[in-house]
Amino acid sequence: LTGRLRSQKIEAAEILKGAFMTIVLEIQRFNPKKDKEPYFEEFDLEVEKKDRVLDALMFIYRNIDGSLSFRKSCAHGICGSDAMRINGKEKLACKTLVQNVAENDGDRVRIEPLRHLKVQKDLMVDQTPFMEKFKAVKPYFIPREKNIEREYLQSINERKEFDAATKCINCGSCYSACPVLDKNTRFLGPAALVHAARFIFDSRERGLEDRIKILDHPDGVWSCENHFECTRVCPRSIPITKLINLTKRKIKKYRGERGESTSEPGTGK
Amino acid sequence: MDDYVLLDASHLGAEIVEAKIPDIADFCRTYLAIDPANEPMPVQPTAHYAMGGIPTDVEGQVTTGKTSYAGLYAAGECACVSVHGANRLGTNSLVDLIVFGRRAGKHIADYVKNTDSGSIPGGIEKAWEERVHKLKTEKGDMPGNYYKRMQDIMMRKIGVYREGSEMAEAVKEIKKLREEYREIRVQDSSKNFNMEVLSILELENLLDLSLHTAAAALNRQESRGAHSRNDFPERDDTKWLKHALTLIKNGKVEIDYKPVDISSWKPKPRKY
Repeated sequence: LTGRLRSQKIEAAEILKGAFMTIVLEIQRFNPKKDKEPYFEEFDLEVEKKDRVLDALMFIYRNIDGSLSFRKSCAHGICGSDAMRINGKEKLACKTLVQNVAENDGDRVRIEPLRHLKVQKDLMVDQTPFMEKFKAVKPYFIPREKNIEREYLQSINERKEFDAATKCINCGSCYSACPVLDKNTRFLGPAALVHAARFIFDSRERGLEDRIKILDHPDGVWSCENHFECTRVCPRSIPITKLINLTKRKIKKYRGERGESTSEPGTGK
Repeated sequence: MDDYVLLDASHLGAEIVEAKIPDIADFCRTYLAIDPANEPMPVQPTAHYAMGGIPTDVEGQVTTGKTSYAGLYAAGECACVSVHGANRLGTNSLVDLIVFGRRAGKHIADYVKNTDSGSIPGGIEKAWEERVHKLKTEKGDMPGNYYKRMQDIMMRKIGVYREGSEMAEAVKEIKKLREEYREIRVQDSSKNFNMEVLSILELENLLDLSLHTAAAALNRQESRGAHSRNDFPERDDTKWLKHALTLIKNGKVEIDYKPVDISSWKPKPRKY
């Protein structure tokens, strides 16, 4: 994998000893139309240490094996298409440099698809259930006031309330890492709850009103057990678990104001 | 090629850097191990946005100015509504999305209500099936080298500062690459999620787009906005205040023109 034009230091890197290294990519392959079971295929590659794992995958599919299937689009951490498990941890292949996951020549880097979603082919997973759960929280702006003809004003501090949640790119890393989804496939999952938080903490929004049924449910916020795996893997550094807990608190307050019970469904608390 | 300038934002402090350029700061840290709150950022040119594109009216309908194509729409970066002139200002591409994307969507909704479903001209589906079958069955090269060569030519010769002689070379080289492209074949014969077929068809489009871009740039003998020629450094409104429309026919580029609407805003040189 040579001759990339991306880095300004390439020319220098080519003569600098140690700028290149060899790695073995172990990629999980599976074509449900052909294969009975997933298997691992190995690719020996020479790469630059500062190459992204995505560069290595693209090199393989353009030059070695065109049947390797994975999703990618913007290739710089904005679109969220290339989330996968790299050495067992959910990461964006475009934001992971080879030197982040391999130290020495000959090191093995294992690439697997996200968990909790059906594999369509190799590293591509069927995002349908993930997107359905996303849609279920009404991930769009529902204004508090109707038909106003001026801008909605919001203070800097009010905007800060949901700033972290706006950063979600729906890459699905958290959905794969969440241990709750191992046992409860109906759980909305961290990403959908982040999108809910994006709107329910927005001062201009109707907030919980229109989302209470889906969130205040055993498969909604109350499934979260605070494992923090989502927070650990989020490539956008969103404090996901914290947002879920703030949502839980907001729901309790909402119920309290209506004189309803504030116990947590399905948790015995 | 690998030159860069350094942009120093460190005097602003970590908080302002994080608030104003969070994504760029993140890129610097991820890819270059540089924190812009402490160190200058290396800045290099890249192809960031296409000012040109499929010409449309304000409803997203494709038009050459002379002919409108009912039912054919373009919106987003692929379209050229002509609001950005020859150099789009930062973040203004949102207009393509939230204004003209919305307008196009509304227009399409109205259009389909009053239109028959129509029919696909005979033979098109079959021609494509044959094309893909041929890609999958014959032997040939993988696309990697073609991508690399195309990117090299466009980066070196149709970059920020342009010269007639280099652009003429680029046109010639891209034409040659389009010929050689016919030798590319697919290894993956599967029908489900065949990324390889997709990427090879995408490469064909990119080669066409490269030729359109290079030929139009070579043809325009002036500097305007992002089109900056060393051999024609001045803007020339008498000859060139117009859009170029390009059409590839039998491997050659035909160029026509479309007037620019400057009734609201007169173009002015941007001075700092």
